[in-house]
Amino acid sequence: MTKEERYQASAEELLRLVGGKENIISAAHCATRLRLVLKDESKADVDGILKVDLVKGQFANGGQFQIIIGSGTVNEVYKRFIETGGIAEATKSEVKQAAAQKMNPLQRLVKTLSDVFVPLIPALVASGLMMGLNNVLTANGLFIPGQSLVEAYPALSDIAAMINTFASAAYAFLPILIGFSATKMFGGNPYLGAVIGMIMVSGDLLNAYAYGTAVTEGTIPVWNILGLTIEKVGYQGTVLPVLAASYILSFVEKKLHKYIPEILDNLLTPLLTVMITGFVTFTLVGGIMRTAGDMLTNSFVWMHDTLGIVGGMVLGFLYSPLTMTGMHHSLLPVDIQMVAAGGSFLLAIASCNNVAQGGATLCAMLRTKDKKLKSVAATSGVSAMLGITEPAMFGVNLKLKYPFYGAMIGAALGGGYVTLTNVLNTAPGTAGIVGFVCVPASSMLNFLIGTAISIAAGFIFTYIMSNMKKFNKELEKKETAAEETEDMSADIFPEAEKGVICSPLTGKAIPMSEVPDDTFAAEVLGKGMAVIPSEGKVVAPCHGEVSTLFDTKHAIGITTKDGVELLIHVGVNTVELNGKYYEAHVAQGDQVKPGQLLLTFDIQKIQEAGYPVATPVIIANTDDYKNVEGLKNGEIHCMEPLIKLEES
Amino acid sequence: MRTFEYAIIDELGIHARPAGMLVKEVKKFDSKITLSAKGKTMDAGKLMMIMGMGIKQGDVVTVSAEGEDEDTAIAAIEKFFKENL
Repeated sequence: MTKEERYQASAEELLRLVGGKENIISAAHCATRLRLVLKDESKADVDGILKVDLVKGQFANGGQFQIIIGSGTVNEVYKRFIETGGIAEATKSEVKQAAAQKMNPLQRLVKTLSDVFVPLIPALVASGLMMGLNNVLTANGLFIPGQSLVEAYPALSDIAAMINTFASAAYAFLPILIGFSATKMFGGNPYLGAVIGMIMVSGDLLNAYAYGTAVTEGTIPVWNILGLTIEKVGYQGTVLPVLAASYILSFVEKKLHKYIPEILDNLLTPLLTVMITGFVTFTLVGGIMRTAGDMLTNSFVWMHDTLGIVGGMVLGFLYSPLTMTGMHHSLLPVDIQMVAAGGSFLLAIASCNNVAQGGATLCAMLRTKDKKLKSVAATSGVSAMLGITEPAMFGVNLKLKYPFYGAMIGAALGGGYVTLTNVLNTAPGTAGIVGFVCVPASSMLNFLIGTAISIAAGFIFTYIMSNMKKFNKELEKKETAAEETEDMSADIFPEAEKGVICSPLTGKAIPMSEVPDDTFAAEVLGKGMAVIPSEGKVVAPCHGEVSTLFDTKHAIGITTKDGVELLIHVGVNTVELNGKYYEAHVAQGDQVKPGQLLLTFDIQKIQEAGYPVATPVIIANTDDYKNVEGLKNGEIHCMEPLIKLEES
Repeated sequence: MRTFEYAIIDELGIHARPAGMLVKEVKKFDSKITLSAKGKTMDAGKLMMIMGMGIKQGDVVTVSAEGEDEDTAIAAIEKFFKENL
């Protein structure tokens, strides 16, 4: 058998022996072990598992069913294990759902939308920027009075046309992307989700962009099925209907999986899932979503026409929440209709909203401590200015929340200004800074002032809120961390230099030879230092894995990421306390960060029970090092350097 | 290869101190010595591995030695278990 075949064979056997994929709640792996959470551990055939080719051992601990396979091999087996079982994706969503249940419905909705859209960000950014580029090339009078660049240089026109085609594809076919992503999120088969998306934008249907005209002309195509009249209209560029469809699809698919006999499952489940979902989408969901869209549109028009500047501010303020739900897409047909009637107010307000999101995101970039978020914010902030807000909104602003509020205020102020100055667009366009090319020359300045107000206000209000604990959760986190050791993380404790082990306890450092116990003093377990603790807390001195944690919680072993095997033994002979006066805050197998709380113990009670609390901090693999020496004697605070290792 | 089985009598099981002593004993020999219990097999010369197994009273362990001095090794370690665990 080749290596690959052995991996595959072991993976398949293991999957069967742990009780099949139905019995698996989650599957992960560490350097050497497959870590499973099983619904029912008794269904696993332990003896059988031990006989599997690549398995070196098995044990269950703290709700985890672990199978030892070995480093370099375990990842290969894991990969095939989850592929064969089709586990990872459904599992992740289950874990996410479990986490999501703790949130309120609005938070859950936002979380769901964000989970659906974040993976799509690269696609939307690419398309959005191309759209902006096309606008620059084709806008009238942007560089040359009375002419666009392509008119002045006809050689450019085909490039612009090509870019336009590239740019619009991802938006027109948005339901396919969303269908895939959302179905995956909801725990269904993402490929079936993509199929539903494709059905919704199928070429056989009337293009959604033409729906407005068809309504006025009364030429909407229909299907007549059993007395039902179903509109044959596509969902190009829509968000909400396909989100709903994906949810239905996942629901139907999961139910069918349950009830259809296994032998027919592969055949019937996908077929019925797609048919049922498609039918429900076109009959029910589509109608409801369109009605929701229409109501939205009418209320917008009413607000603008009757409320003036206040209406503009309200529209600006509410535009972000609308974008969040994707319902702003249903405004596009309205925009087009109003443009045809002479001018629309929507582009200016949408532009104010988008750039306000961008301004808020750029401010968040400066204010957040999260490095990953910073880099997302930089690119998505710029793309929001150019009209693509989803990455900024879902990737950054809604995550931190306060930039989103800042953006709403920014959009309201800009929206008020453009309504006051009556900026109307005479062509549909991309809502963003470049949107000014779509308004008459007389309004261009006001358009730009409006967007400038929005950017500045979005930025400023975000900045103000970032300093307020009520809005900025990061501030709160930092404070709790400073108050309690529990939350101390890698940010607060920089990684100690290689070969230096920091003290896991606060107290007095003493040489190992002074520990009142022959075994430790003679360094039978390894060299190191000891600390007589003044606080009953043990923290992780560095990144690593909890490789040993006795039931008695008096000793903990950490294997650091550099391979140091560190044993922290709290007290002498304290194994006899059998866990009394000790509390563990991690479990064997957990990954820990510098400063993370591992154990707490009651110094006074332990001493009263007659045990010394001197805590040896031992390098269990002393033999792997040329020299192990103490760095400090006397008073020591946790996370201060304690031991120096010299590599051999 | 030589092996023996042993049921742990010590009520505290193989905790830090006996694990350390066992490792010290094991390191006296050149043979590759492993400790198996509860479906896991570990290098008996690795303190953290031995402790990580969480062997308790009543657990049955299998020790095996393979190498030049496997006979003396297995005898010495069996003696160690009987005296200490």
